[in-house]
Amino acid sequence: METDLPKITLSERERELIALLAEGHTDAGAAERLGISPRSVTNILRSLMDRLGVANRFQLGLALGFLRRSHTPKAPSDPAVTEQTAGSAVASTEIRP
Amino acid sequence: MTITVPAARAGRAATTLPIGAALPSLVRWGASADADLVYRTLVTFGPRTRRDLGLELAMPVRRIDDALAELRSAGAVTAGEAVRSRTWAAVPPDVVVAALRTRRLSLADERALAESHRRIVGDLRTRLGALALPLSAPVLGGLQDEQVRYLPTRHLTRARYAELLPGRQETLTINPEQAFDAESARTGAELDRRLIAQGTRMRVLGVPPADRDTLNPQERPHPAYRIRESLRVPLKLIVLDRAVALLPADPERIERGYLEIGHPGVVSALAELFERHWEVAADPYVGAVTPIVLTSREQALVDLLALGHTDVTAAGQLRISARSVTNTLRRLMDHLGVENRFQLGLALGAMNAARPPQLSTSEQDRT
Repeated sequence: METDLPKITLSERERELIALLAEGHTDAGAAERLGISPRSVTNILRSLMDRLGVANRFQLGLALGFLRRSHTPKAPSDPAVTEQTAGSAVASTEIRP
Repeated sequence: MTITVPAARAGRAATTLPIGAALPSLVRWGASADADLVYRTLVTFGPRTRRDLGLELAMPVRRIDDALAELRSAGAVTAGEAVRSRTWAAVPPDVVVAALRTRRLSLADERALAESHRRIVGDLRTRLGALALPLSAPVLGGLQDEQVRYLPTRHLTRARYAELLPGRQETLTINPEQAFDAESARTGAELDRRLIAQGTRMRVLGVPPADRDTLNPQERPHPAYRIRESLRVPLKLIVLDRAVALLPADPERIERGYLEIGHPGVVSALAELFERHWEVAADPYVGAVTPIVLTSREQALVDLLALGHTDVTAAGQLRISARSVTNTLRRLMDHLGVENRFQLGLALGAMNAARPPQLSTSEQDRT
């Protein structure tokens, strides 16, 4: 499948923040854990949303969820194969010598 | 794994997790649902005896015992000193998950596989007098005898495999690989499409992926495949119509190519070997989580939100009240077990139920 989403690399801090939010932490809770201000949390997310071209948290979640899904190591780089195997619960479906 | 954990550590496990805190499901790493529930209880409410657990969870003590035994062998719980009313305490989740992960990741044992491969080939050789070629150092490609052909590279193997496929009714495959390299995946996918197109029945016996998330809703593969999984597969093998078998010439050096075997006795012995392992292998879809299917309203709403609509404008588009929008999303969030819009987006994106705006017009667009 054609992925028009920019392939973004998350910084360490972004990754940590996303992981905390994904666990259900609030902005304030995540800020406290990371030892940064809630304002920094907002800024980090803002810049991430800009890079991904999305406008709100829901869309940010969608984009990150989608990226994670299509960039899992299980799914090889070939688009056709990604199509076929991404999301397959079984890594070894295919028959190949 | 340490058996006695200082009280302070057990106490930390029991108290650091507030009720309802996010806690990874141990089922994802191969634990049973009972074990997960018991662990969850211990880690949230603190140490308990088996009897208390049984009462609180309304489960027979026998099931509690099984769950505790499982958890203990996985290093997820520790037993207290007292024998009569022994209490069980949870080990911190990060430690448990790390241990379970390692346990799963270590399953693909290449050396054991190579040994098993050699044993099988050796056995066939002595039993049937076939495969009498220097498998450890094959030099020349081509026919070794009438019924065995050596394909000296993977490239040639794939080419030959493609030649062998047209018109096949059945394939039996054992895949010890947990993942395929990119080139193999590319050729394989193309050939798989051809096999599906010609209606070949395919049975694939593989190893479970190293890190499968069994709670992630999954689509089933194409119905042409039947798939089973086993932690111990004997060798890499492809059998076509029980007439031709392909197996690596050297199990540890796949680049040395394959043997194509037409010897009827050997092929049928290999097919029997497949059947034996198939018999005891597990169907990965039994007990797996079925995909969450969105209702049409949920889907319509999610699609609008994915495009950047607000609750209010989405409500307008759908001709429902903003309150219905909130309620619909609330239900969906409960269904998916998430707390906020960001998590909802993550979950839906990961299950491909909706796409971010950049992708909403691509070929897979839902209409």
